[in-house]
Amino acid sequence: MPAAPAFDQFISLVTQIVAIQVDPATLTRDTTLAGELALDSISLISLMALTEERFGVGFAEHADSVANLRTVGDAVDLIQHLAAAAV
Amino acid sequence: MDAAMGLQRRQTIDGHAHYLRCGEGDTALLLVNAFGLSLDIWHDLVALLSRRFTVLVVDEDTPPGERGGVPRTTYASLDSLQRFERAVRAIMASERRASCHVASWCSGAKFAIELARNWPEGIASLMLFAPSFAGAEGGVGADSAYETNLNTMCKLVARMPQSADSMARSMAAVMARNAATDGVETLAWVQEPFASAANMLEYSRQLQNFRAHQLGPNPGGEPLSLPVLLVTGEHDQTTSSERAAAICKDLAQPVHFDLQGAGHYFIHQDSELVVQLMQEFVAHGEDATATDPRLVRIHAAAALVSGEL
Repeated sequence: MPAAPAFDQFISLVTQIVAIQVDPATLTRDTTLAGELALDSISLISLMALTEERFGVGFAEHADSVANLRTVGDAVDLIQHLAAAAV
Repeated sequence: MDAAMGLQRRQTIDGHAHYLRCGEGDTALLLVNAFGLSLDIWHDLVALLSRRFTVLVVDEDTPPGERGGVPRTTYASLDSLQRFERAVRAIMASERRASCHVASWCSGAKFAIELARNWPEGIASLMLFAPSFAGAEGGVGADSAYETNLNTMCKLVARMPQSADSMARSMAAVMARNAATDGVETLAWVQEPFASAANMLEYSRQLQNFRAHQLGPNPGGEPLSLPVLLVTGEHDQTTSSERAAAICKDLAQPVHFDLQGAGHYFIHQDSELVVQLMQEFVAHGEDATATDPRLVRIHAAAALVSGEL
């Protein structure tokens, strides 16, 4: 089960970045970033910058992990992993 | 790279500006590049143009020997346009020329148009390739998705400069992944603004200056009297060709060709075709014709009828 707060917070950031109209209620862990959300490379790194700010994590040493994110669930898992490591 | 193109750096006689130069043609051609990008995209075009033209480029970059980073010729500061115009006049004086033709690509269009407005006797014609007017207020069309996303990213960089390093590293990794998994090689010059935190910060600042630069109507409301060539790419997803056509039509009476099958980078990918068209336009102005079937002439009246239908 995803940690709902992290998932919900990440979705709120997604809706700020995506260029297409999305209903947050329809987004799941399996929603694809490049496919269903149409995030290009520029939008992806914008999203991750907002994520750094919101969650207090840093992706600078995890750029390859960012590049390999495929779904919303992948991103939430990475955020939670980095947040736990930072504690 | 500039030297590889045959461009040599010179200083104007008054000592106040630097420029790049190649070719010995009787006709002078000034190139105005997109802000924040190196001249690499012009490489093949310059090689072909230098056979017929004396090619000139304003160069406000770092001092010789300190190349690197984001070029600063346009939009690096709020007085960049004034500096640019002064530099062009100084270059023309140094070259002992009364006028030159001007060719711009992408975001270089606004400086090219301003130059023609402010120094009409010095500019013989304007050639605008895939012009971007991102951030233009009102009028027809809107920013492309790419322009919107880029603006969002640059605003974030400005608001959170501490994230620029992370963003630069992530962008490099994303581009490497795209190349490895999809075989999609991002053109080197497109990557330059994202190559480091310093580049991202400078590029983001220039983008905000670029977007804030509103052209406004021509002085006196009259269309520019010089010949204007507009070339758009049929599949350009980077900028809005519809808005470019509308803005250019408001400011001048452009000869508009749409290059079929082309994207945003056609001055590189179709350089021979572009040079043929440039030579035709310089020779015949508004009566220029194109024999290549990929160059489709867009007539303003036809566009209006099409729009009404």
